[in-house]
Amino acid sequence: MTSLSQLALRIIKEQELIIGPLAWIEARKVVGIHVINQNAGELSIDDNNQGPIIDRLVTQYERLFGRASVEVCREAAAPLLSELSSEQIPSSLK
Amino acid sequence: MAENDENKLISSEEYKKVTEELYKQNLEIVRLNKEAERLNVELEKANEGQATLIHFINHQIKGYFGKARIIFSELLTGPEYGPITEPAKKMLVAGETDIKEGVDFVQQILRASDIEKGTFTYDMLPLDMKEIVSSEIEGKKALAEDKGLKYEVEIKDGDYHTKGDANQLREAVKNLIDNSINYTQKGTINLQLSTKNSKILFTVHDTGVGLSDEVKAKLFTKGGRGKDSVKVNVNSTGFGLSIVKSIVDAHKGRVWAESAGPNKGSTFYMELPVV
Repeated sequence: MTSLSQLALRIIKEQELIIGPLAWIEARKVVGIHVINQNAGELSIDDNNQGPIIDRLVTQYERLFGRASVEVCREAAAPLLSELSSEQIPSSLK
Repeated sequence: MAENDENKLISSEEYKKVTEELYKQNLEIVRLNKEAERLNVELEKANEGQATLIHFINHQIKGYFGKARIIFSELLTGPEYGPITEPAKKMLVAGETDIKEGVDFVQQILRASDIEKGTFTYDMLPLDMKEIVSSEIEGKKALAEDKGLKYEVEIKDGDYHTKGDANQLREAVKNLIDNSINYTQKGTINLQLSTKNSKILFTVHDTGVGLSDEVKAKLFTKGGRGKDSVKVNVNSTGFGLSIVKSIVDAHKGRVWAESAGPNKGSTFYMELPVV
């Protein structure tokens, strides 16, 4: 079962391919995301309001890198979205 | 505000524009890299398929060569085919020799392929390297002398016992001598066997075509023959020395070559441990 923390991790890792460690630095700034072990790719996100946390992560990248970064987030998340209900899918990824 | 290369302040809008542009460029690189990786996987699959096909074809060719060789041999020796005229006999002998070379050629490619795939198994047993080297040296004497080359041999006393696959070591020794004769048009082939500090050293020195630095660098790799090597040795497969290296490596030995340059001769060394 796909969780939104997996979704966040997928997005960060995809961004990492493009911008390197900066992807993790920016992710740490998002309220509700807790990086446990960057090297092992472990993180958690707060239980309540998980969708908006993902939206904030997407916005964090967009604010710095523009529209192209949003498309990257969407492409990274796409394979996992089919396992989520439509209410679970963060609005930024719809 | 931020600073540009000329230390002039740029607006945050300009800064963001540059950052976004860099992001897009990085994204393009990542996409191209992913595409290259995908193509590489496809290429590896295609190469694997091609290698399997070539291996199969080589096996088939080897089989046909083998049959043809038996036919030539039968015609030469079987009394039931009646008397053979001298001119016909010459042709049959030449045909048999060519086919034997053909079998050896294909065999070499197949062996190189098996070694590369890791499917080749060595039969490691105690052996006397002096016996192997001596018999191979003797076996190649006529080939060198027919070519008008001086054939010098020096085998020193010592302990030449080691553990290895006799057939494969024989093949390695034969290959080094063959190479030397094939790539020497005139002069001398000098062969030495010695032992020192628990190491067996077989040295093949010639006054042949020599080695450029470029050739030396890839000499022991698959297909690593020099670009003009087939002009000198038409039977060159380009696998010979890579096979020699694989065999010697499998015996925890070393093989290397030295040369002062093109047309200045070369010396090949094969070192094995005394066991």
